[in-house]
Amino acid sequence: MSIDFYGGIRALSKEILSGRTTPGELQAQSLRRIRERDGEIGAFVSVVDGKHDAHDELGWLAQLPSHATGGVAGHLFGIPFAVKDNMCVRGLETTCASRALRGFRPVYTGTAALKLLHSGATIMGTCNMDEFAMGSSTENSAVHPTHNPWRLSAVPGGSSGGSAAAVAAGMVPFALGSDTGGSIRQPAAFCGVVGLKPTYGLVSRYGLVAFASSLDQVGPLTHSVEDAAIVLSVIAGHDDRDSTTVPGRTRDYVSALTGDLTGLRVGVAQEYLGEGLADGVRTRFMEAVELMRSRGAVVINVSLPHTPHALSAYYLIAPAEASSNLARFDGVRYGHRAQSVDALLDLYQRSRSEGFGPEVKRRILIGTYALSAGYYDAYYRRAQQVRTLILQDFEQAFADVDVIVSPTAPTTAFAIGEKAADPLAMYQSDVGTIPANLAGLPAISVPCGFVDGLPVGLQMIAGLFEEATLLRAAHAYEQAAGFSPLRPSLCEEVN
Amino acid sequence: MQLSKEDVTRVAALAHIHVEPPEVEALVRDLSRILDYASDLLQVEGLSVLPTLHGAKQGMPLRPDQVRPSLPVQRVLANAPDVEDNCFRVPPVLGDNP
Repeated sequence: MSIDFYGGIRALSKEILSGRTTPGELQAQSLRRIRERDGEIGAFVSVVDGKHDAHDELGWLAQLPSHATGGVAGHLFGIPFAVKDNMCVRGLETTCASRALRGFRPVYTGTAALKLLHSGATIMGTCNMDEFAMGSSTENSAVHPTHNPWRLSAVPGGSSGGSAAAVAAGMVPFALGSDTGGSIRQPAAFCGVVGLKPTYGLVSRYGLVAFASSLDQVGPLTHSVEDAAIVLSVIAGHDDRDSTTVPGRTRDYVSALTGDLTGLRVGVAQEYLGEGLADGVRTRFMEAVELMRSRGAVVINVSLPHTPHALSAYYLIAPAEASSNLARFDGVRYGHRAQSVDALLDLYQRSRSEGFGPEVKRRILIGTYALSAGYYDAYYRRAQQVRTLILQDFEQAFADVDVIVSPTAPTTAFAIGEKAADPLAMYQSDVGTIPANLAGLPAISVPCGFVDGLPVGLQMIAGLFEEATLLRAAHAYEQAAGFSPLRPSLCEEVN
Repeated sequence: MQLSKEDVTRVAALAHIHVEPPEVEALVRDLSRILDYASDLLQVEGLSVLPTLHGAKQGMPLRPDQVRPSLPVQRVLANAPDVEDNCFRVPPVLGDNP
């Protein structure tokens, strides 16, 4: 029997509950799709075939205090999923797509993955990414580049490009990604899937290899907003292993999905529609806004005047934090160690030089420079002050609107190699997604049509911990627009 | 902002990353361009505001400081490149250049 992952988690769950399929059959189907399609897409770094050590964690988990189980979590029983290759799952090689971590097998499982396993979901493997999540195309992977299922010569976006491509190509019903400057939303837009970055502090990062700790957040990539709500309901919540997580902020997000846009106040900021935005993307965006207006939403112009400085602030703050976080990769406790060195400092320098790729080195050096004596005030502190101004812009805007909409990325998926040699051109790809990270706000990308055969993403941003509003708006738009789920022609069923 | 080769070499030393001469050339070019791009921050007005360190406006509550079981030593050492007597083994520290 052929089972389709595009119909969503709830439909798959019904199949299991009615006895028409089993978790084992879904796992086998996922493996079949990975074998059929991943040769040309390259979404996975490692694939789990059969029962995995990670499931042994469950005995240990039973000793933990209260956990997200119950109604919504029940939908995930037997559902296959994948994680980005920067999320620790015990015993499953986790490399951050870097030579620096080749062969590294975590000795514990991170909280988000553990909660999914506890809900009965089945882990299928780890997905490709830009090395240490630094990039917007999944070309900066030391393993292999990932190809976009909509057009194999195009990038899937990044850095969670493997997770987005795996979902888009029907290999798994959903995957986890991480989003530091757009790394869930931009690949979701490029691959025609839904990508959600929750509020900073809603989902535990315990077990996520840190890139920029004041920005990193874990979230799902799915075929629909409802699936994103199901996964979020399970992975959200306080965790005393991540001090940024907040008690008492979670809920059943699925019940927030009313399908109704009436009276929703939708903000449009001209700052997101400036130079660099492709005409076709602008057209699809304006159509989406008009559709929401026609369904009862109130469209309001808002101003986010410091948006033009967000990219600069981000590309100082994130590298500064990365330069500190990545100091741990020194060849001593795990990861790549240089051979034939006879002094400790030499071991550090050679191991890191051999382990890190060019973009990671660039960002560590920029970050180290921004934090170094004489430059801290001019760069790092100034970037953090601009961050305050960006936060204030959003606070003012959200006094008048419920969500702010924008194109997720300024273009559709670009060709592999097109921006690989120009870091600044690559950074521009994140111009629409970075502000939400700087402000800690929840944001989602949903498909809003095509330009020349490639998907376009609509981004919605909401206020802090307003995931219910965000998902309600995104779901209502999705229902009205009728684009999701999208199936690339490459992935049409042949049997 | 034009960096020099010496700037890049100094920063690489601070970051404990060995860079070969051809890499230095490329890094001088790339890092200078990135800093040039970021120079728009120098033009922003109203920077009397306090810096924002993270997105957690809710604060960061700490957990109670209680003794709990930790990972067994063998698991902690499982990924180590070199181990001796339950310790991470490294080359000699003495004789190292500061």
